[in-house]
Amino acid sequence: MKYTTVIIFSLFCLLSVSAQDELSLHFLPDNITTSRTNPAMLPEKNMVAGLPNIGFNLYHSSGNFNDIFVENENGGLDLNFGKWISQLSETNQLNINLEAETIRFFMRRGKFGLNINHEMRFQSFFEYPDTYVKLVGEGNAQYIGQQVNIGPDIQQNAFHAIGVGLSYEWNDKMVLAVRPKILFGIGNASTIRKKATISTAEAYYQTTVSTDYQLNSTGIVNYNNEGFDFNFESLDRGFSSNTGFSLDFGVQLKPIEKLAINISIVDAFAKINWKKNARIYESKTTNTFDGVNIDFSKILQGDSLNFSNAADTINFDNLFDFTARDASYSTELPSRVYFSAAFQLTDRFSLHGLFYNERFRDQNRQAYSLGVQAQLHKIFNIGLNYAYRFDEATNVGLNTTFRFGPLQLFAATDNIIHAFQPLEADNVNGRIGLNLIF
Amino acid sequence: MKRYLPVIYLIIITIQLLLLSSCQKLDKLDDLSATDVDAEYAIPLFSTDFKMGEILENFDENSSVFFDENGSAILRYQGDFTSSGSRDIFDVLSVVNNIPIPLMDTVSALPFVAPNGVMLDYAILKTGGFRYVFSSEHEEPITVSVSIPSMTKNGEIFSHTLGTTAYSGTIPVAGGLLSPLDLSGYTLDIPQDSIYVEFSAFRENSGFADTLAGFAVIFNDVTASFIQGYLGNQVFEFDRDTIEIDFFENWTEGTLRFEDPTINFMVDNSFGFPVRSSINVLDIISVNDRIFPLSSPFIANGIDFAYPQPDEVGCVKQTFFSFDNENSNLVELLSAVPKAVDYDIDGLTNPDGNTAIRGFMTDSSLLSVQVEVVLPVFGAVSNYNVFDTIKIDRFDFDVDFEQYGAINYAEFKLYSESDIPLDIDLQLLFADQNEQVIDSLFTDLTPIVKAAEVNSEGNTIAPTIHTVLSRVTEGRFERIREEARFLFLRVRFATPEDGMRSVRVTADQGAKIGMGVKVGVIK
Repeated sequence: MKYTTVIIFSLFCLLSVSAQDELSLHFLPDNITTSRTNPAMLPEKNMVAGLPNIGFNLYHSSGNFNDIFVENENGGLDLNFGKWISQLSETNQLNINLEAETIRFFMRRGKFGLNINHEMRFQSFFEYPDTYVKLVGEGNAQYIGQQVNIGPDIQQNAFHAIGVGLSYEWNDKMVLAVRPKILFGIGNASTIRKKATISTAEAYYQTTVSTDYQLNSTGIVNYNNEGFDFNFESLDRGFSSNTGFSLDFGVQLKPIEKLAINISIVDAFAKINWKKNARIYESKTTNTFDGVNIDFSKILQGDSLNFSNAADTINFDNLFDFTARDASYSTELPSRVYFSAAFQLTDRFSLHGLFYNERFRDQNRQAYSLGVQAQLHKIFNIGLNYAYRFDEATNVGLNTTFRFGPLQLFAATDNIIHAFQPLEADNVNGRIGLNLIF
Repeated sequence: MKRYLPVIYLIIITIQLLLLSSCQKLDKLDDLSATDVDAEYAIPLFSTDFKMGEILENFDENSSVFFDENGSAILRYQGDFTSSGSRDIFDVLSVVNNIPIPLMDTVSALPFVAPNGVMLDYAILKTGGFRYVFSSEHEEPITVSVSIPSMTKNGEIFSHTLGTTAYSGTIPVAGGLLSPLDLSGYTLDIPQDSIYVEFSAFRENSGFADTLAGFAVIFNDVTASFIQGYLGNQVFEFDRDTIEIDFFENWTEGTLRFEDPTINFMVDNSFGFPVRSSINVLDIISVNDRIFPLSSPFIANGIDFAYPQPDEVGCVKQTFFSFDNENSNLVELLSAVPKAVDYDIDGLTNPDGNTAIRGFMTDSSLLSVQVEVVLPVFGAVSNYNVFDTIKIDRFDFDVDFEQYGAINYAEFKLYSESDIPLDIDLQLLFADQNEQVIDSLFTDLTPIVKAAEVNSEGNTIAPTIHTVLSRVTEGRFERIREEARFLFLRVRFATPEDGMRSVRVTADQGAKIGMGVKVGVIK
């Protein structure tokens, strides 16, 4: 009992550490958790209970944590602008996904299967232009005479999802499954319009900020006199009136005995309507900071020069000039498509191939993976795969399953090199969990 | 199952240990600083945007700024309004007041000799009283009649009759009118400087006219509302006055030339006779306290003021006279850079002594003079230096560059966009609270504004843009930020072509001047 408590506690601790395209997870054999990627991929046993499992995904297009943050001589952290800037592209993304599935239950009766689960998900998508960093790290002098984009794109969602899946084994060559999910929004921050530019004039460096920016938030991001502030404590909420819906659909085909073809779409039509604490922040303005304006004629009459007002006017938040209002809104969530094939080479080895596409805000990201699974022992299965993910070719994934009686412990990552050193990785994911198989 | 739990535990603990360093690092994100920064930030510091119209209107306290139909600026400094009334001249009538005038005959011509050569033709009395006394040797009541043929009102001669029954057995009998008769409104003709008075006595018992032993008349409080005649050589004295010109109070050196300056005399006159100026003092006082008397033939010869003709009683005639570069050495004197104009003026009546000019005046006649100095801002200036001290608050822009790194330089940029036809050079020194110079932005006079292009008439035809850079090191920048409390400015103005080209300043000419700074930060 002592160990069981420690294990469960430790699993939850992992959640606090980090954040899955689930490519490697997709290849796990005989595991109910793989139904996350395709509801038609079902375990062999007729009854399986999924205990908590946790997945994370961290992706930063422009450097890993340790590149950007370095320890200084005082034991603190320094933001290393030089290294960060050297890895920036014109557009950069920081994506963090945390998923904690609290429970899952699968039961098969005849050709029908019932698959119920609950999970909590936090999705964060942050896209920023390189100038967003360069303006600070290199200064704005390099952009004199230019109009520079500084508008970040933020999409953050935290929500509960309860899924009820239904599968049907059409025959021994085809399984169909559908899993509608009801979503309960916890918190959101999302940009609708994201135009924000800053320009520095050649004359005497007058600074002009031009915006057409809209940020919707339910409290993750608040705006006050001092500007924007993140409030992640607002995510400490249960079920709310912010409801939504999504749909998973999957099919598994076995045209021949040793070949399985899996096609799925996950989180199709996913949308959440935000009502509780929903506010809309808008800025549509053009403001120029000219420096302290001096009334020359008054100076001639003996007035003193006073620069103290410069402080307020040069504050970017003032230049943005945001207005706020209460209003409900809705957000869409990313949808994913998995298309894979598995070929059983021998009793112990199988080969896998996968195409993955994620679509969000009219943008698609693809990943490709090839892998091999080996049943090395009756209690131990391991898989190795290589993936080309999001324009990166250095992804060697690993998954493994231990089977101890009814207890099934599994772990999967798409980048084993950095799975245990997420701060050294700019693209890392993983999932670990337990299932009970009856 | 139980036998596998330690293995599972060990796997998870291993994973956690591997992640432990990551956890610790993340905790430090709250206290983040920056490194590997090599940045250059450019921010605007201040800007000013002005029109010459606004500047000139606020430049000094004493001037008024006007703009002609072309928008050309004109500085106008006016002296006090000074005037002189008719009281002095009217005093000539007082020679008849309160003096008993004995009449030697029943018809007498009382002599009227006004001072200062005044020869009155007639006067319309505003106030006045008339009394008379007599003595009678007649042993009976008499009736006394008196009339003044020189004094008429509504066509009727002034007259008065007084009956007496005072004889009581002793002679002579004294009598008379002790309460004065009101003479206001009467017209007093004074031909040949005489006032004709007649009297008679009628013996009531005897029934015939007779003479009196003595008769005297007394006028009192005789004043006039109108007089006409030759009013002699009088002097209207006006107060001495000084017109302050503080436009150049900060001037230190350089040359200055106004193209069309004037000193104007504006005279209002309702006296109906000739008046000529008598300019006792008309000096230009320079900013160096040197005194330059204005030289002009009109100072010696005087300026004749216009006056109303006899059929223009009550009219005010205006005279506008200008000392300018045609009739005086004003342009030359103003090149000494004026700070004041000192003047003392009188007015002389009938300066030519022509007694044939019979003038007039009323009790409300007035002669007023106002002097003004008019300086059209049209001219040339070279090496014109001005010093000024501006008190400043701390250079606190509240942009904490140090949070990103150490400042290693600051490069100031002064930008100007001007359509004012003036070159402006600036030397700017920073001084601490004890007014001790601690640093400078421009060590020497440095061009900061280039004169706008002008045509042959001195009018701006194209604006100019000019920038100048000044770099200071981190140490100097910090000291300026921390200690500077005063700016010592030396500004040098010059019109194009080293001050040889005259230019015209107009209300809508202006300049935009801004200063920005590039700050280099390294960490």
